Amino acid sequence: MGEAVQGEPRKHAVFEKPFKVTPEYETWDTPDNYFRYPYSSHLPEKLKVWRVQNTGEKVNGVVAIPGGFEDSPDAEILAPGYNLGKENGSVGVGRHGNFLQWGFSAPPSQMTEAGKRFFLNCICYIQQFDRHGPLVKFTMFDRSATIRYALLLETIKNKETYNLMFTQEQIEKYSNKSKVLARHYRDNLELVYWDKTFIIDEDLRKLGIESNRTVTSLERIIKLFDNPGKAYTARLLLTRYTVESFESPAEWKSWFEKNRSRLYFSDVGGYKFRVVPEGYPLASK
Amino acid sequence: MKHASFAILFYMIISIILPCSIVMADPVLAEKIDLKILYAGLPQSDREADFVSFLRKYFEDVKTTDALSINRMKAEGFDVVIIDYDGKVFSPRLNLSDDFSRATVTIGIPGALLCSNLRLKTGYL
Repeated sequence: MGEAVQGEPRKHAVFEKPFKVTPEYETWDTPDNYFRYPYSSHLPEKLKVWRVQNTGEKVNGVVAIPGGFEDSPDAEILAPGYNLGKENGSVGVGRHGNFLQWGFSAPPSQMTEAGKRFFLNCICYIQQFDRHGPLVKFTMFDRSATIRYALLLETIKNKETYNLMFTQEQIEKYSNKSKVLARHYRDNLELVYWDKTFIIDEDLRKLGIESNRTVTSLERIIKLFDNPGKAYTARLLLTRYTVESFESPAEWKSWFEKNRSRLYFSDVGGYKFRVVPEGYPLASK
Repeated sequence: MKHASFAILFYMIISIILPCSIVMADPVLAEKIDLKILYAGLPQSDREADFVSFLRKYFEDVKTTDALSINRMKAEGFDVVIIDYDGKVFSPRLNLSDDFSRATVTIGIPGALLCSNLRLKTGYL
């Protein structure tokens, strides 16, 4: 990562309390690496940034992958980091559970005024998440990775790169037709899940369910129990997409009704629905 | 005439420099923040001194420990743990138990690698 946050601060307590963070904006060239990722053609040639530190080094920090970062309620992107290695929007400062990662490397004597205030506010902010660990752990990349990696099939020839992404058959078939595979995943993105490789859920498609990650879809899966001929499919899908293991349809329905408002789906956490525990602190608005 | 010109130039320079020096000073608080901070870093290093002297301007209580041996027991009695090393190195790797749940700020590359070990979204993937 470079020495700056990209863009204006989002509306968040870490830019307000106890210190108001007032960035001094600069305009920097959009890094070339941003344009190697899908959906980047709209990016301007220049970006608005504000320095957090001033060490004279072009790269002096680290970012985290943004895809799926906020797909669980225990994680939030606090500031995207201007970076020379990953994609636009990569996470320079972010929180997951009780951990707040400050991706910049410099000590306070090399931070800017805005950087110092932001750093102090982060220390104060994370305290409210004491003893509230993360709800999910990283299991696999989010589904947008299928498009990114599909497009790489023609440039990165080391097939081991794709072992956890695509089947051997897909790798061989699409090694010279990467855009075809990428388009296939893009057109079916709402039905992508991961089980040793990335799969498009044909079981859901046959049922006319268009997404595997909405609460409405979960409700439709549970309602399959109303048709005895569909009970097996219901159980298969509920095992695939939840961490629960109820015996009876009545238990499934009761669980769903009780927890409907607290359900969330996380790709990164394993392509599963989970329930936010009562009392778990959510991100500041 | 010469003295007047010099005085005008002097005041012009002061009016530019003084506000800049105010902007670059550390933020000011009326009272220190009532949080107990444990800074886990590289003991006796300039970097540790840099962080600790800064933190002690703002927090009531700031103590230090070695980042290579930070654990749940050492974090008892503190409100926030800051885990640092030197911001840049890939080795040695910092470690925490999987169930470490104290409020923690991790810093730079060593922090990101620690997050990776813990399978956090903030990890260096």
